[in-house]
Amino acid sequence: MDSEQLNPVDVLAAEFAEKLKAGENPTIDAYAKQYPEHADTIRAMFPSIRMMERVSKQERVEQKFDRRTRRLTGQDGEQLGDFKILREVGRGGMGIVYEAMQQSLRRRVALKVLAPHIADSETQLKRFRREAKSAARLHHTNIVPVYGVGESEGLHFIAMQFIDGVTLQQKMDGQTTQPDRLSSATFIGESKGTAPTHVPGIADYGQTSETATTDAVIVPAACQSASPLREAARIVRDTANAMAYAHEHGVLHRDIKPGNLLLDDAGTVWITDFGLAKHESDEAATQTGDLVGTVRYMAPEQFNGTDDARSDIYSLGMTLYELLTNQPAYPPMKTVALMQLKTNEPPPSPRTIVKNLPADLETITLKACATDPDHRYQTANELAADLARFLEDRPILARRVTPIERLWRWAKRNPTIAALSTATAVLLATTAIVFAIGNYNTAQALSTVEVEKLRAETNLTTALDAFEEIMLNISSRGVTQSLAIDIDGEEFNSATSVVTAADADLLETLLDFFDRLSQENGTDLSQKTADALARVGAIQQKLGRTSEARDAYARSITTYEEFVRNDPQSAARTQLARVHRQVMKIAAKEGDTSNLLHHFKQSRSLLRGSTEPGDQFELAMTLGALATAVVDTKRITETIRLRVGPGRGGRGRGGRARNGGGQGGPENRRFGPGGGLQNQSRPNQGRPPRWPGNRAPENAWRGQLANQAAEASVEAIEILEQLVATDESNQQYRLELGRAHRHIELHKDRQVRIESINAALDEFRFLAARHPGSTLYQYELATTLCNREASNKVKHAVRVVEATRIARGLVASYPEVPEYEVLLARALTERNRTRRDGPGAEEGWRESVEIYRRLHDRFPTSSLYVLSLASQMRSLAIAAGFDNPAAARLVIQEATELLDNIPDSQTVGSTLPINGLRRELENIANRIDESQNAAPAP
Amino acid sequence: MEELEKLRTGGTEAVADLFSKYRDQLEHMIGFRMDPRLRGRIDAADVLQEAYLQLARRLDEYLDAPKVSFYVWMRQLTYQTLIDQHRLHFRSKRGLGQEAQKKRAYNGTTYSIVGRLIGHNTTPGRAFEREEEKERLHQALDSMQEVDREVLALRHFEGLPNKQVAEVLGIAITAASNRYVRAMTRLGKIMEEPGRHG
Repeated sequence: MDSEQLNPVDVLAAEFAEKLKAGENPTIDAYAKQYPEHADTIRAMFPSIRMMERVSKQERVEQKFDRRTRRLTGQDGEQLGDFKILREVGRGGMGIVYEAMQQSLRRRVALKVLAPHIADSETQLKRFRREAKSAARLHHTNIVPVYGVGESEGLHFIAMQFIDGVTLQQKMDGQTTQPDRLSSATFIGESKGTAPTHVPGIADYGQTSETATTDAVIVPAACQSASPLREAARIVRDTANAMAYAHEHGVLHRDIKPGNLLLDDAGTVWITDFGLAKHESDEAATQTGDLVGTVRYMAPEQFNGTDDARSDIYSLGMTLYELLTNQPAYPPMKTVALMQLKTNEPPPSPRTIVKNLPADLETITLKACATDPDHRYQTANELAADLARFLEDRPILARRVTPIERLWRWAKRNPTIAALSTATAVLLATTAIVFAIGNYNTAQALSTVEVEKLRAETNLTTALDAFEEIMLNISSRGVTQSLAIDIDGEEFNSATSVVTAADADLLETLLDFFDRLSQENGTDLSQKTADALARVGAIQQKLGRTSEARDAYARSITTYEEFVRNDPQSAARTQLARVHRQVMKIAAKEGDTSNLLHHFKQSRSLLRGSTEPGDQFELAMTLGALATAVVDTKRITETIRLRVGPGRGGRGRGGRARNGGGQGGPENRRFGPGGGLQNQSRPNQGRPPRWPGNRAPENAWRGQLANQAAEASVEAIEILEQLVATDESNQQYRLELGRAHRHIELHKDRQVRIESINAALDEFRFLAARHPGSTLYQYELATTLCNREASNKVKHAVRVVEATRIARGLVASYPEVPEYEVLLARALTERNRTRRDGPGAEEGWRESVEIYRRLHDRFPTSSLYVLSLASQMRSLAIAAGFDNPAAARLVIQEATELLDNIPDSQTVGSTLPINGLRRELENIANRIDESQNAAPAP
Repeated sequence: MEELEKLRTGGTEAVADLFSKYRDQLEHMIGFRMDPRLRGRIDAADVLQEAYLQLARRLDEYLDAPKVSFYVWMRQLTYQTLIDQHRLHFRSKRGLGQEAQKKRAYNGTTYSIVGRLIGHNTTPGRAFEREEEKERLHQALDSMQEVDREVLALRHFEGLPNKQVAEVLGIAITAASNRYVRAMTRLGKIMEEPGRHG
């Protein structure tokens, strides 16, 4: 009561919380500004207060609804209009279901009381009534009849026939014994004395523990007699028939799932909740309790808000899948990830889960839940008919999807199908034929071993060619055709990769093919398998599926090592060294230094003994990989430190990015180093920042690793220079030489660095001039030009202008390639920094903002782009700052919103501190405000 | 104290009055503290009724030597009643500690997603964000020391002022206030840990 006893910030916090409770929207800034002496604490505390109050409010609403409706259940014989409530039987997204007696007609009904969020909105209610009416017109033996809708005491409800039975969900849950559930069932039986002989299930029912199922009721008698697989087929056939009937009457279900299918005592299946699902609505707190559970059955197109009859078929297909395998078609995962997976990939073959599943049943299931609606059964009738054929042991109409068809589907889903060359198409066709012959042959068993072997080798060659061609296609989508030289080059971030998971799976399919062939045919082929494994590893790596990549590489290494043991001089030796190099890259990304060095040494020792030019080149690549790893890690560390720095008491000396790739930078200086408030009056304000190139690398990188990397670069350069001397026309040698020169930025000696970067520029200029058609060299050249490691300010400015010009050319010629846009943005960032005090700075930043905005629009799920965009906006705000405060504020607001809207799921695997950037934005906003309050800047 | 005066002179009617004044708040506390597994089996109204009987029985004892404010005392009785109910149901000495807290963290996903996806004006991302925020907050709270967690929960989930928080926890007002500021700052840090985003 005596406020002097309270922590002064507490008083403010309490006031802040009160305002939030009252529905006001106080800003943290205002508090921080009004109480500058507590600004730090306020900024640290208040966001959490806001969050807690938000969550608290949400929970309050949920509980209130909970209590309100539960009260209805509490007393026996509670009346709701004509209905006498008997008991509550379930809770769903739309409300609560009661068993009730309609007194005038003396019939038992299931009464679904709508959650207030539906009932409270007039338009929602109207729509609900309309849908309920059309549902009431459905009369089918497998659809739960809707009697009508009503309202009493402010509660809206829908009445339908009461079905004695269980939902399929409960049936499945019952089969996989869950101790938890059984004990809770026991508990209910004891406490309320109700032995739940019949559990009438209605939508969404079965997700709260109070829905008791005892083992006595789980499996209706009818199910126990037939084979469970056939029984599942029968249930889904009947459901599909009912669904077809409803679709013919223009009613979609939109939420088909095991929880909405009831099985009565006679074994008859009933669909419930027709046409109601879409009314489940926004802001309401309801009790479905299962977010993912619903996405689980949704068709991919529904994620975009479109659906038709085929979406219902998909959901039924998912249901069938679960009934057959007793597990979800897709493994449980975060919702957004699940949505992405469902959009991109078909579910795994059910026969891998249930070995004795009839092939026809699998074919039907997979057709029903094909990703593309056009590949599904087009009507529920077709699905029902095929299931009927299966049940009558007649041949079904659906065809199996052949591997080659999968290939085509993959190609079709791929937006850059145009990139698929005719050559590839021919190859794919050839492969298709070979596949067909292969199947034929395995059935027929060829007579002579020779023919068999010949066929196998032909197959393999063709398959390998197809494999290569696909790789090439992928890489051409990535950057340029030239990149195929080193598909797994680390140049491009996996977040921006155009390689899809479907690519990897397709290649895995081909891999199975290799496996089979190599088993049939001796060692020659298993080396090819090892090659393919290494390639698949590379693809998985590019996709960011690190553990899959590691597995593939490990298998590949084991296979190769066997060859090397048998024949130390075999070609496998080089391959093995290559795979070790790939694993180095994984270790580098994960910051696993010991593995990085281990595989580095393995790779190096395999190659060092050989004087073969090929091996020498490989050795140079391995050396280069180490340098790249160290340089990249350094860059990432810098970027992160830079982002975290401001706002945390100036811990990171902001604005000293060396190669921050466009993040942060010296422009920060305008607001004082680090943007920290207390740094305002530091004497160096206004002085140009020290040019990073003058300084030795940071301590951490002066260590052993950096030395090793620098030495490796030197060694690589030596080797490559010799190679170039022997074969001047070899582009790969020169390309690597250029890269090796660029990677020498770790070298302690500034002079060496300068010379090296110049040498790199020479190489790339030479290559670019020689091969004007190759965009790769231009790209490398521009990238090197952006390097600030070893040039003075003026020279750097000149180089950046050139880089910008090249980047613009690339973007103009290949607007589809995101990496070129990134390059342009990086060049612009560098350019903007050099002209930060001059005119046009604001415009410069505006352009790079626009680039990232485009990228963000194209790849909305890439957190890298959204962060870059926000970061560029920050720079723009600073540049606009004093001259155009209104614009700056607008930009800050937009950037903050962007950051606010990054779903957590998108930051998986990334340690990018969004909050640091957010705080920085707040700081800038403060500065602008302050500068306006004070005398305007000259 | 005005309330105590009223209780001393007003008899049962005053008790009923005050009780109904705080009923919503108490009911919310029960809802918040109740093990999710017991929802639907125990009714908050039953707990309140039982608590009220206790209250009437022990009122004189309280008024003779009131150590805490009336609401805090009522809350304690209600909370105790709830614990007793839990014990009864779980047949063990398990209280409302860590386990119940953990359970509730995962009980958070109570939104229906279908409407959000099919509905026209919300993006799925935002809906998930809110659900995940909630889950994340509860996980963060679970990772904190019990007293810190309690201070924050009492303040924001139960909506108690600092003075009453101090009474509930049996610590000095200043200590409670400082503890609150520290705990909230720590929560802010935990929520910001990069790993938390994953």
